[in-house]
Amino acid sequence: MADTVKATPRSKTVKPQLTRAQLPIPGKDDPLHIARARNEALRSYDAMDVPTHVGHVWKRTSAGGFIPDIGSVASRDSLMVSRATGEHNSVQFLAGSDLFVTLNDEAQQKGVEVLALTDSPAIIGKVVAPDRGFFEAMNQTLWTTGLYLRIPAGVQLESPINLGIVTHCSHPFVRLSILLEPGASATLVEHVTSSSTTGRTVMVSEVSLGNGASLNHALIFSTSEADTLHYSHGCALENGAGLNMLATSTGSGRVKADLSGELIGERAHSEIRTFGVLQDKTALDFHTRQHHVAPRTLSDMKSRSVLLDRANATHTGLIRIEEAARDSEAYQISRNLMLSKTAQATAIPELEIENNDVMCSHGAATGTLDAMQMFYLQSRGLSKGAATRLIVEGQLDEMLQGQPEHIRELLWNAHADVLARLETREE
Amino acid sequence: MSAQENIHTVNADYLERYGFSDPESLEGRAPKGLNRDVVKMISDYKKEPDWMREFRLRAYDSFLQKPMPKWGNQGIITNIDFDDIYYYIPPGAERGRNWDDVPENIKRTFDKLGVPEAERKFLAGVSAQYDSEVVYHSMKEELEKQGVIFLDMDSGLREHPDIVKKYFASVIPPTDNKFAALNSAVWSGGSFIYVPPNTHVEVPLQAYFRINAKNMGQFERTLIIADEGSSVHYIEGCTAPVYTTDSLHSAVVELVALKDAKIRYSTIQNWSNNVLNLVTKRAVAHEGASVEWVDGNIGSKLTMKFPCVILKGERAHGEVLSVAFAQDGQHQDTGAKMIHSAPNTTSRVVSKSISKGKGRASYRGLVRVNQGATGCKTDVTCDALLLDGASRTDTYPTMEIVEQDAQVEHEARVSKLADEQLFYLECRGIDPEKAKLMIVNGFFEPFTKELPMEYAIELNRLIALEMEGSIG
Repeated sequence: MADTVKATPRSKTVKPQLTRAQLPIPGKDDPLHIARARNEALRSYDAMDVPTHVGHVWKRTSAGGFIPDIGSVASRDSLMVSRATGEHNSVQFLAGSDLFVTLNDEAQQKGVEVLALTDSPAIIGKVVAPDRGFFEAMNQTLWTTGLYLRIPAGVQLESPINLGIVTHCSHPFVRLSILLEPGASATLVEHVTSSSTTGRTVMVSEVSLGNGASLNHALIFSTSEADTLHYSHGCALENGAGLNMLATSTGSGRVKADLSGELIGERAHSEIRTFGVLQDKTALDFHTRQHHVAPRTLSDMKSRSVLLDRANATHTGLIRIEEAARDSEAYQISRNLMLSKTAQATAIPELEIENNDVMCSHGAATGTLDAMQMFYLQSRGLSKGAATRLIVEGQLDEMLQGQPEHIRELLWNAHADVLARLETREE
Repeated sequence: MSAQENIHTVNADYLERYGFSDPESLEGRAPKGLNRDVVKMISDYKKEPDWMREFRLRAYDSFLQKPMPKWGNQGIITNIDFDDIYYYIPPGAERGRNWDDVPENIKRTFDKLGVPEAERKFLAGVSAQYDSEVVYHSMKEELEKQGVIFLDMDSGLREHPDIVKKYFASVIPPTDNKFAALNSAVWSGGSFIYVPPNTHVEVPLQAYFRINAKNMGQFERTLIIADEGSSVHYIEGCTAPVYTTDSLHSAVVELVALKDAKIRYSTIQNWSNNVLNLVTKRAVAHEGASVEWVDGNIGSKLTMKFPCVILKGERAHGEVLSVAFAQDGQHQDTGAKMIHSAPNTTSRVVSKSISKGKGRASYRGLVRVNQGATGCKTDVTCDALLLDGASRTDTYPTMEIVEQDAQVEHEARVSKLADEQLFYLECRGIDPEKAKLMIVNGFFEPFTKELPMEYAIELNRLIALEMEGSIG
């Protein structure tokens, strides 16, 4: 009956209360610029509510499940930094406790700098502002552990930097600041994994690319099943800077990743790709943003998900072109391959275009294996499983086009198990 | 194209043709604002059966309960003052059975709209809404012989209570959203069509709607039922006088296509630029049925309209073909929803929009493939054309797929008027304004060619009018 129908009550998440008393003491625990950033974030946090399903970015994922228990946050320890020289560049970052930095001769000679974020210059909140969202504000208010990486101007770093981040339940708020000064170029392989303790992690990663800088950024999430990760990334690109980013999830934890290319300089260009073969009850929710602020900028976004079992994939992709960003080009394509009757895929590509001098398109497609392709492969003697595997391998290969060899190899290895499963699985 | 030959003469008489209004002569209207007494008064005035009165009151309760939408153009919709609206104005005239009985001032209005010519030509029935009530209604004898019922909704309720009771609000319950609840509480007028099994209505059925009283909300309610194996094409066209205060228009349109039936519903909306057009349109397509929405949005200050087809039976087909033209100060927030709930259902959405000046056109859509709806195919295409540097276009489609065996595609493109095309036309001696118009008409052509010729010409003229002064 009409008058008895009530609005369906969703379990409303209570917003954790934060007060200034919970923050580290300025000047004592925190340098002043960091204390200022925390206060600014706290003001944003106070003005916000926990995101609801009405907000389109949270349409398919409940925000409440990503909020860490603030009571369990450990007080800020000073980060133990160990430094060594080695053949490869590796930065192992255990949230809250240790930072192992191994740099090879090249990186040392060229002046690559890795610091605890508390020792960094005042750059916090410059790319991912606290008012971007609830989790961003929460992180900037409460973060306990962070890393700062700087590639000096003009440095062309040949050898990649492997950045391993291990989350920890008592240090849920982690930050990264990565700065490529003008003309620098580097390859960064970032791997986020869970420690044995499970928990909810809220990360913010801020990347600044100076004029003409160029970054190749591979981002791999392999968190374990009981973990949740909210990863908020922003990359600001100045004149002529270029970002080539590849994000993938090989774990089984719930991940909500917010990836954003801010094209603030003329002729900046960003390319973002996401890929995932999702199994079991894995939920992966990508939100990507191609934000054109300056004229003559270019962005391209490709997303592919392969869904098995009860997996759930969501991709919300926004292309926003401001009025000043004339003569810009933006493209986006989002594809889901459904290999299970119980999987669920949602695609929400969005365009917001505020000037008419642009070339812009987006597309989204969801479907199962192409019957013609399967017939072709099976008629040549491949089993159904082998044919499926070959098609998915082709999709992975497409996403890895243009990546350096070691990233290709890394990702092929990371997907080896799931690809093997495609061949043998029972439907 | 003949429309282009006389663009300037067409535009010259716009005020004369569309911007007129008769002095209000309205007796017995409900007081401004909405409460239970107003709802009861509307029901009493119409001498409705008890169930409808109860229905209105329940809907009024849900209207109070329902929150305002938290999305869309918040700046406009949160400012709607529901207490500053007349919810019911009965007409000054009795319902006329033939044209001679229609009062003179109302006739004048329709003369300007071209209704009599339209009727002489190829219209089967005219159901012209003047303020809240249908004042004139005629139907060709042929239709009556076929057993087709084409009435205004109020008469439909009186004369065919069984059919109405069975289908009314079966597609859009009053609890659907705040505006559907509002309409359910205070609805008045609209069309009621029932097409008996295996009957094909060859000529389109047509109705004109007008808003004519200042601050007058129109809450018409249309219900179309196509019984098994039948087919019907319904056309609704709107023009409205120019007024300065906001007018709320919130219709509910329900279509029911039973097994193997076919319904096409065409609209050209040209409300004046102060009207808020917040409409709920939804259809249910049963086994093998087909529903097409052909939807043109030219006028209004804000339109929020997302025609929906629920594909409930196997092999059902849904289609939305829509165009929107957003001028300075206008926001056309339109789209389509396709819900695939049965196997082997198919749907197609083609949406085209043009933004001019500071106009904003948005596409907001949903494609959902439910579990068990195997073998579905759906394809969504959005094209947006931006005419000026300050124009804005948004696309917010959503695709939710819970079935492995489905094929879902979406594509959107944004472009400006191509310099090469303009250059090509200008080289051949076509002046820039006409060249732009030709390109725009070409852009809308897939839509225009689906309309009856008379409408296509009218649409081309309206676009010519909207395009005026776009060079510079």
